[in-house]
Amino acid sequence: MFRLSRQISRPIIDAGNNYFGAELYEYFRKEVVLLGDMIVAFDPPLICEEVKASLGNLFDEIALLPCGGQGAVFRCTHRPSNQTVALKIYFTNQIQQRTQREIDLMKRIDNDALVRLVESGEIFIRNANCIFIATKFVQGNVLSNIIKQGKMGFPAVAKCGYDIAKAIQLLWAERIVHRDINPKNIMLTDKNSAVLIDLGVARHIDLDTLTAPGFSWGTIGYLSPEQARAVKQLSYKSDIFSLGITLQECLAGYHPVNHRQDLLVNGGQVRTNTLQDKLPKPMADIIDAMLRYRTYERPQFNDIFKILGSYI
Amino acid sequence: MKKDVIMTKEFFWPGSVQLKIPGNVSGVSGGIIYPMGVAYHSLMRRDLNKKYPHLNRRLLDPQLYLVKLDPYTCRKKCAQLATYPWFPQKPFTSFNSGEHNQREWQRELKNKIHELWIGQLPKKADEIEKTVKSCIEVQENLDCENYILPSPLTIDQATDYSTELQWLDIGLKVSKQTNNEKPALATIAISDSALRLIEPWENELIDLIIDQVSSREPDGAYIVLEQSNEQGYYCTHHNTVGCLLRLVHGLKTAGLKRIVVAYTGTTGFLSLLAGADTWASGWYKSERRLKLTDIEDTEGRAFPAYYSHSFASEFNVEHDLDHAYKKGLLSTIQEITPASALLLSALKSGKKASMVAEWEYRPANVTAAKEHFVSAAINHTAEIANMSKDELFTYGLKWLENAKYLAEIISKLDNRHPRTEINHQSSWYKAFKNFVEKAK
Repeated sequence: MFRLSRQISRPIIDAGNNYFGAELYEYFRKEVVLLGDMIVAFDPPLICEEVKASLGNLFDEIALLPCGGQGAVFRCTHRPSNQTVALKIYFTNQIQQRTQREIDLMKRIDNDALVRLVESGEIFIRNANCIFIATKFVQGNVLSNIIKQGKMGFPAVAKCGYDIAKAIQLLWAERIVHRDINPKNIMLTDKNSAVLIDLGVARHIDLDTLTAPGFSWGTIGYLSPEQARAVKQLSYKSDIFSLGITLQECLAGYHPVNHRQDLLVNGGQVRTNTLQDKLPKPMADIIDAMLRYRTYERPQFNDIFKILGSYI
Repeated sequence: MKKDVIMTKEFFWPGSVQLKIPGNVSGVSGGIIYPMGVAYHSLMRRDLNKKYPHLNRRLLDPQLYLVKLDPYTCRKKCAQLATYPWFPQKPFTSFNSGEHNQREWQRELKNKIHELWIGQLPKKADEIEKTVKSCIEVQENLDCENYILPSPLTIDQATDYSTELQWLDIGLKVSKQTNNEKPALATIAISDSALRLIEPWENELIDLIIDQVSSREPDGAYIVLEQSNEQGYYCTHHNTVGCLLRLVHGLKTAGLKRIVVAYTGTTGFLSLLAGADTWASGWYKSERRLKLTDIEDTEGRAFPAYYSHSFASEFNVEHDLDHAYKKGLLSTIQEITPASALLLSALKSGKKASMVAEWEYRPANVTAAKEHFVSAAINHTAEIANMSKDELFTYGLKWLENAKYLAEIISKLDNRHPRTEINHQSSWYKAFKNFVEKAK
């Protein structure tokens, strides 16, 4: 497993040298394998007919959506529930049965802040066992696209932070750490609510490997220091760190340290009050606290809800 | 209705040898009941409030971290623990006062404990829950002020801590289901084997424990240190001490309301300076230091020793205290308590310590020494009770710098007795100084 993942991920990590900074790049190159790199995209991309042939009994009105991250994504109707869903198919047969427990837990979570898992399972497609995940379709804009348009006002950022913290809390209640909170995984709905749209199920490519030394999961530029060190057990405080970076990005209109993960690991975080004029001090302070190096110095949920909630 | 947790600096008496406080010294804030120290049926029929006033505020440590004790070499302790419903064991006839003579029943249990003692904790969630429930029910029946949630002992520095976290998650779930829903303390029982070899701020196990325990938001933590590598009365290794300080400080910073530190002797007092709220220590070595391999060893004949807080240690009273007096150190090392009044006045009038009957150097003549230690513990805990964080740090640095200085002087005393321990002071100072620099 180790050798396989290194073979796949090495070129990707090498290509990312510009983003890492020399020291952390070396560390990642030698020590840490980002498991996300193990998932490869379909080439050529899956087409609707292929999905219909394999999953036509479950899904109808299948239409291709712009592909996000590691899988092919389709908009379709889930026949049993008659609701519109986003169907994601992962080209990997390495997701282990043990993830079923977590998938079952996610099916139980029902909250506006977290996209609802509707259906999941295995299909045989292009001569490989693949995993599919169907989540409730959320109408709105991906946060990363909104940030491209410029700075967001602090009340909207506070609302986004509040909602995603709620999603993190819901996951943590089931002892799940998302590990990949970033603007590409957050959708702002037409009602100005933020929804965590990626359940992070794909990270469960073999939890044994995920918790083995030297393996991690996440997106460079948003990893908490402990996540970047590939520690074995993470808590929700790791997701809180990633959320802090995301909120800074919303306030600034750009990534606060230009995806320099080495700066985030070495205490080079940007002070939040420098990112936007007239930002209320308590809000800047709580976001700074979310970015503290030591997990125990980061705020608890109640502190986050209390402060961000006061600006909504 | 959830009760508020207590936030102050307190000294609790540990009932691992006996529940009674030596000399009934007043001012002890509360007590910890240890299954190792009293059989279940004996505990349950005692009127704790009436017989032991300090136990008006009480905790019970389930001591499941002792499950791996060897029943062949620790017959007495295992037989005592086996009387509690949560220790895994094969069935045996429970004590019935109408049928059994307590002494004989206990002896019989001790004789066959190696056949009954299972020595393994359950692994399945439903079995763990059953075990945890029985721990909490007994604490509830005894009206303990907090629930101490059981946990296995952590020995391996490279552990992922998942077993301990499974116990904690189940413990928190069960404690929330009880009617009174008292504050719950997560047990962190850790061996110094996992702490000694790595600098405290580099020890990822400490980060892991602080992060994972505090993220589950228990009301507090109950920390027990197994000192498997220590021989004396005092924890000596600077990494072990430093890790304890870090653990306490990290958990407190993360928002836990009450931190109780037990089985660390006077290092427990030191942990108050890092943020702990309660420490517990008795006088005998077995009340200060948990070491699984010699848990049943008797200390042989206990001799009196004089505790000096400024020295952060004790003096052997056969010769060393007299020598210290001759060196002009009495005003520096003296600890004024009712139990030591006669001793101090004798020394000041030129008499030898051993001439005072209560302090005469002979076996088992330790009543005054024990009372003196408890009084000193109470006095110095009260001394720091209202200090701010900065004041606590300053106090600790001054205290230990002075203790280190005294240890250097006393190391030069002729024929110093090993009971006058002089090695830990510099180690504590180093650990605390390093801690203060990083924690400020």
